[in-house]
Amino acid sequence: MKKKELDCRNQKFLCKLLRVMKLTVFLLLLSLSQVFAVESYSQKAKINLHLENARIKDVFRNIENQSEFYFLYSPKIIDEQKRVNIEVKNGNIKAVLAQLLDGTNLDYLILDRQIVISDKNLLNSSKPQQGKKTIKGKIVDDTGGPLPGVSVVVKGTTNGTITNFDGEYNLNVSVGDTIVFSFIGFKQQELVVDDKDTYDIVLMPDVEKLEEVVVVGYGTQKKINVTGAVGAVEGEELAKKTVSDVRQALQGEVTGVTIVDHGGIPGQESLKINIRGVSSLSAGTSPYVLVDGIEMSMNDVNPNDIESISVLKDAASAAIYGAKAANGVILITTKRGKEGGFQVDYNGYYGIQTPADLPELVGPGDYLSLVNEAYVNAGLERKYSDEYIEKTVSGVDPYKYPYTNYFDELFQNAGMWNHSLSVSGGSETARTAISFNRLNQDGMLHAVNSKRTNFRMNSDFTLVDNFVLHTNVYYNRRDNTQPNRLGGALSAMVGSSPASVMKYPNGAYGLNKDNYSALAALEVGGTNDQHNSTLNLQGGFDWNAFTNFNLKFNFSYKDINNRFKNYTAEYDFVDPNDPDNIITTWQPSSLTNGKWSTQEINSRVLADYTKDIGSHHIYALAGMEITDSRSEYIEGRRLNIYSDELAELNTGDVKGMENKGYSEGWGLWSYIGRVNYSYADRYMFEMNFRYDGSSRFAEGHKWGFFPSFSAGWNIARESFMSNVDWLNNLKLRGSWGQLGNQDIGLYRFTSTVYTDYSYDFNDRLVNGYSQRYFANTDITWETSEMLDIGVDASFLNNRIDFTFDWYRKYTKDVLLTLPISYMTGLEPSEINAGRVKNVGWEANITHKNTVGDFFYSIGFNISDVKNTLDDFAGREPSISGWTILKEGEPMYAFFGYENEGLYQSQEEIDNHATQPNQQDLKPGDIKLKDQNGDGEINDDDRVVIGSDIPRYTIGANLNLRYKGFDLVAALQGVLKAQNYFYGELDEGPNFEVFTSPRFLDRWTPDNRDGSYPRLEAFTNKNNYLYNDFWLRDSHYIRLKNLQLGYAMPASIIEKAKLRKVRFYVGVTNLFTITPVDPGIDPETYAGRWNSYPPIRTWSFGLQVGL
Amino acid sequence: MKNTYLSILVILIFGLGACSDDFLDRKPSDQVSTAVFFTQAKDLEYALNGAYEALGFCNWYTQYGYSTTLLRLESVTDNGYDGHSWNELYEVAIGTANAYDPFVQYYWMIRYRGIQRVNRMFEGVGGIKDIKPEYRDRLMAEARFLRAYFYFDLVYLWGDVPYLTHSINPNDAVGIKRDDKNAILDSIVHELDLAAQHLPLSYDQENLGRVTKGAALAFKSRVLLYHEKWAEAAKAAKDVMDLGVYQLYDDYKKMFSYDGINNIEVIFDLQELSGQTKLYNFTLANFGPNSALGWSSGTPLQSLVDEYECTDGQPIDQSPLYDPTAPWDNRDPRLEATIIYPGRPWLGGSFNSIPNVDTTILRGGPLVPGDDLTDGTEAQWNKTFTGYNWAKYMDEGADYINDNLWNGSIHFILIRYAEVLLNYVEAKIEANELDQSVYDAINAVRARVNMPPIPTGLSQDELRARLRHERRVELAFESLRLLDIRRWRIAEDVMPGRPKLLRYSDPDGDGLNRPTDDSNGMPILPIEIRYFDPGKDYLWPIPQSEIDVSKIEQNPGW
Repeated sequence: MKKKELDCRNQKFLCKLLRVMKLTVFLLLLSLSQVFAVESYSQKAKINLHLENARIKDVFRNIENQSEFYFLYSPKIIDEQKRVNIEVKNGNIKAVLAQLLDGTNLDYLILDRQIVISDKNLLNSSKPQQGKKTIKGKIVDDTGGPLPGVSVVVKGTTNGTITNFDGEYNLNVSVGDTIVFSFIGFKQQELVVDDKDTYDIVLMPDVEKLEEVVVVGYGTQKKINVTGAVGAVEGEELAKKTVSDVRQALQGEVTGVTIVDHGGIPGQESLKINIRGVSSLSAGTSPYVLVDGIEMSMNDVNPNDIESISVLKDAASAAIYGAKAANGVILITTKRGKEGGFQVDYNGYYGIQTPADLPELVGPGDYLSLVNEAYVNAGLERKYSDEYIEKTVSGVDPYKYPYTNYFDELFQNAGMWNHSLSVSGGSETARTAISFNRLNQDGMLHAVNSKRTNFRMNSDFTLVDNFVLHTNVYYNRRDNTQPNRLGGALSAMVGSSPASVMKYPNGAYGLNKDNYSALAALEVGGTNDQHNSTLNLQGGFDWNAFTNFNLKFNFSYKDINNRFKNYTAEYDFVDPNDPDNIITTWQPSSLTNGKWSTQEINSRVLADYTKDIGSHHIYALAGMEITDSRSEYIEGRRLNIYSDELAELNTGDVKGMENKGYSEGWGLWSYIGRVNYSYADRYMFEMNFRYDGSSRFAEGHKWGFFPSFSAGWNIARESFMSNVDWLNNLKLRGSWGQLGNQDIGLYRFTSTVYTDYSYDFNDRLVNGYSQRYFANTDITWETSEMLDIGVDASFLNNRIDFTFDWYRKYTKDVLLTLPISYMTGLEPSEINAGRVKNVGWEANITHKNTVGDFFYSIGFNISDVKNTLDDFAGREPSISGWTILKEGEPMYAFFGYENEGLYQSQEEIDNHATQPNQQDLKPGDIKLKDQNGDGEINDDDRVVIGSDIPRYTIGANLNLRYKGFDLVAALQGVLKAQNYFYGELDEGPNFEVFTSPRFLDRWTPDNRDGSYPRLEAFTNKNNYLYNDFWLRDSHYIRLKNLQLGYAMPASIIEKAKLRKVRFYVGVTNLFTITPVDPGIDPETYAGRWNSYPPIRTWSFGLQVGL
Repeated sequence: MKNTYLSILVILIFGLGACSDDFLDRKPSDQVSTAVFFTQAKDLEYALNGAYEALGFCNWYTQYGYSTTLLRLESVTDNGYDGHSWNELYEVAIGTANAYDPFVQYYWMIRYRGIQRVNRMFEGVGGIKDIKPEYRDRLMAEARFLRAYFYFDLVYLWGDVPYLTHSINPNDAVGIKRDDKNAILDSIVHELDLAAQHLPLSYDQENLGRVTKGAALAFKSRVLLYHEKWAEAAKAAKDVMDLGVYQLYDDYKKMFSYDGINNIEVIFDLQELSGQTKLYNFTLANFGPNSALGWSSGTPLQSLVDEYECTDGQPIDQSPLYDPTAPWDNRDPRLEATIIYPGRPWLGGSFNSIPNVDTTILRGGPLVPGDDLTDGTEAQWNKTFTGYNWAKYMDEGADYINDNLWNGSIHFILIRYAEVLLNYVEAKIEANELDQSVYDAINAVRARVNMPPIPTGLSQDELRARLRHERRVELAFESLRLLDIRRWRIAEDVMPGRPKLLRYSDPDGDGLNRPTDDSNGMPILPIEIRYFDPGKDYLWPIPQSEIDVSKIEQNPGW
């Protein structure tokens, strides 16, 4: 019964949403028809008239009836009763009108569907006169540097152009027209056309920068008035990086945003983004990413679509996103159509991808000798004879004496294509921006490919002066394919002895000591396919209902469909000498086919009010937002698939087929508010709040209130500063606020019985149910409290900008899964306990200047954050492998023994505290420190030995422009970092796996200061205990992006009616400066090597605009 | 347009005024709320099945399959050895472990998990109305048995433990006291008696594998032996023998293969199903020889091999049939059924772990490559550390050839009739009632594998030695050895020192190696010294993670 009630309630809400949805779809369709009709209706419409002796008034009515045209005229001018004869079949309106008005003093003007009939002379004065006069000129800034991209428009019309790369323009005008010159960051200028043909203009920088706005939560703000910590990036800067993922492009661009690129195969890039540190242990730590106000995954956004990105870093700017904002907020705004002629832009490049970094292998002679040494040190016979080594080195028989560098053999160069096409523009009443993007990226390993298809259409319609309707359509599709056993292949590359054969001439795969073949894993192991698509439809309006009062509404429907099909093939590995003898097999084949789909509805209403009273400026915003999300999962699996070609669920064994599925959902109901007050643009105050209700918590814990306050003082505007010419801007900011984090499981508060404890009796499966978790009904959000103090300054005509912020962020009620007694028989669920502290600072300095034709800008940013697990709820430190959670230490600090170098003699071993496996210790082994001095090394001697949280993250950007040439470069790095590498790359010859040149510097009696312990085959007892010998200084600086472009002079391309032609070449990850040994990438991975290396892409691109 | 404005305003007002509580009220749709569970008959049945599921376990952390994990216990005894130093229980076996061993922690956890699943049944059973009383009583009797089974594991591994017969909250666990193990054993016996009253002798085909009356009585005899209540133990065993339900299965070797599933000797086992993702058993992958792609994570020790008599019923140091250079000939057939040794038939040929072996020891055909450390095949650390591999439960046909390495499904036998007979024998011996029934029972076990009867007229001590020998060879690799060396308190004698391995030498100097008894022979691999502290190592440590939260008292020495 209860269940049924629930459904009804849901339905009621659903109906409500459906109604809104219908409206949206209608508006959307309307908008589509509008966009396509704008230019062409008068050409498209066909008129049929057969009238004799008809009154002209009736002719007009007849046309109105059979078409969408309607006439505007004054009866005073037209004799409505005048009789005419007219005969038209499938005629064009212009022809009809010409025939109709022939011999009168009347003329017509077609404005879309509106036809104005008036006096010839009257009309001619307001009709655009094509080709009446062409003016030209050059626009420079105050230093004389040319300004490309300046908008030059005849006031009140759509007639306009922009300047080329030399700052020059040409425009058809009439005498008396007012021309408006505008460019962001410069003061707008106007002039009236007289008899001159050349108008050179000097645009003055807008010293006040009053017009520069940044996107903030639920609106925009003048940059000068922002009192929170907001980092902004122009989309144009990101589009200049030829990476497939916006997250990669954003790396190093914004202070306080730490992006670690862990690499990953195309389509599944793994990047970790943290804004101002990591503040949660078990809840999510990723920022809240909104694309045009709707939560989206960042990696599927086409970089060319991005107008701007704002990063809301402090509590004051993010608090308006309340329960989702604790990890910071990233707002991506996509481009919208602007009034003016349609512009078409193509941007495409071809890229060649190569691994930026691969582990380096020792030569065959060294490898085989190292293995022999390891064997001998283990008290065994040498494995390889001198003859064997000699023959391997000579390469005489690569099948009998093989030596294989799996990395070199398996990684290959791969191509990628990226095409972006966009059309944007529109009229005063209807504007649109349409873009299409197609990315086709091959992987550097066999059979890896990712394709992205992306479509976006943002349209705006000014229905009446004060009412703008907007619709957004967004569709993205990703198709990824990769070998099913890719992970196994990557592990086998380091896990195979180089003294092994990859493939024999007869086609048999060589096997490593685990009976595995990296090549076979790529070639015959089966395929994983993934198809992810996202559709987002948005509709809404901005209604300036009353003076100073706006009402905004937005409705969004998001549909995500992720499908996967994982096929594990079967394969028999045969003896290369006896193909009938099967050595090992991959069996059985299996197929798992599944689908995850989510439908999410978001509805939002905002009202704002602006009022200026003298020097007092007041702005207030109030609104509400509802998000409803429902997901469904379904999966089927079968074994023994009929054949590789017919890999479908239906072709698998009926016996043992499995399926599973479930659905889930969440809701968020929010009220938001903001008040701004400023006095004379000098003193600014802002208050934000959000009141969130979340379905993820139990009754009584659902609602949370998140306030924030901030203030700014613009010192530069004080009268006492008026004499200080070199200082353009100086603003002090301070803010405090609270943010929430609800990113935990959906139903953690409920006490439920799980259905997955089945047992079987006599080969018959039976249902087994059991409670699984101890439910914490009191669970609630994490709350982050952040204090931020910042300063913004600009000097020397805004040529130098400087920003500095200090912050302290306490995250309280951190969601922790604290262990509970096993005697409860249950697993623990999260509780709110503990506190995490992040204290950091960030600084950013940019310098822009133009010297003659030479423009340059240099930006440098640095940020640091210190993370501490401030309060662990009185809990004992929690150790997991080589990491620890311990009060007063960074989260997941490295934990283990401290090393005191290598033992040099047996005597030293005997005199030192007893280590684990003491009897096996030999000179050349790692000496561990006896921290508590009890003469025995045991678990009690482990201490915190480091942390993987990067310190001093830096980014540097360079932009140069000289005539048609431009150059951009972006450096990114971490100045202090540690990584714990373990596994094969530390084991090398001891376990007969991939061996880097590092092992050549092992300890031997003749090389006592070796940087690597002595070798011993088949041991991991002594030296591989978690200890800081294996901790590596892994700071780095990396040239992430370098691009050189050349734009053809306007004078040449104009002849082809082109606005822009630019060629460019670029490269990513060109070099890395790091102390880590060659090939071990400091950024991509930690722990065991099993990752796809960072990519170096050489790209060749073309941009065309018309 | 007016209407649009109006509807927006309506939405606003509706939104602001609406009761959002309904909207925010979400519950999982694929799980049953505990508030409404235990109302229908099937709830009780499903909950009981969930308790059965806790019998075996799968520790994904180190990837040991469902029943396989229990077999790892053999490697912490003098029967077996696992040389993978990174494996859990490795340090427990050599005596250098601490309270953090993951296996020890997991075993503690999974046993209390099963106990609480049963406790919640007892708390919920009153709420079920539409159930036939007999059916309810039977289900609860099965549950009672399972709880007793779980507690016995806790008692013999950890000693005194909190004896909980009701569910607890995390807060209730703080400062919890340990109950006296003798009181717990008394209670277990009582519970088994209660269970036996309502349990049937057997089930229909659909329910085969559930707890029977015989299982309750047989298990009771095991518990009472541990409890050293000899007369009662003997009676419990005798009760099983008198049921007339169980017999010794005629083929000892086949008993541990697919053919032996649910055979007449099986009293209680882990029911496993092939290809079922939750009940995967990796027995072959874990313990199988490298030649069958196994990892040899636990291999038999020489001392167990030496325990098997020659076919004349004499120990190897007395039998004329014993040849140190062909040591596996003329031995108790259970040796071949339990242990894979060089020359034993395996995978259509002969197993071998001796480098440059003298092929005259071959009995099963050509050498199967893959198990000799120096035979040129790779995967060294998956080769046997002791020279031997386990044979029980390794079904080379069904599991290797058909590639069921990862989802084998031979049922792992938890209680079988031979153990009951030996329980009877031991109880009678310890009660000093050395009558003919003692000889009959032990000889029945021997006769099944064609081993001659033991001599008559033995003293209590002689009989005890015979019985302990018989238990060791009969029940090897059935995870009972740890229980035995603890209750007999012989672990301090059999565990310490460097375990003996297969040794080989070249007696003829022709470059070909043969096995040897000579301590100067070459071992297969160096092996670590084991330590055993009688003041400490007879009990496992309470997991540190349990102590951290419940502040429960640790066992002495840990």
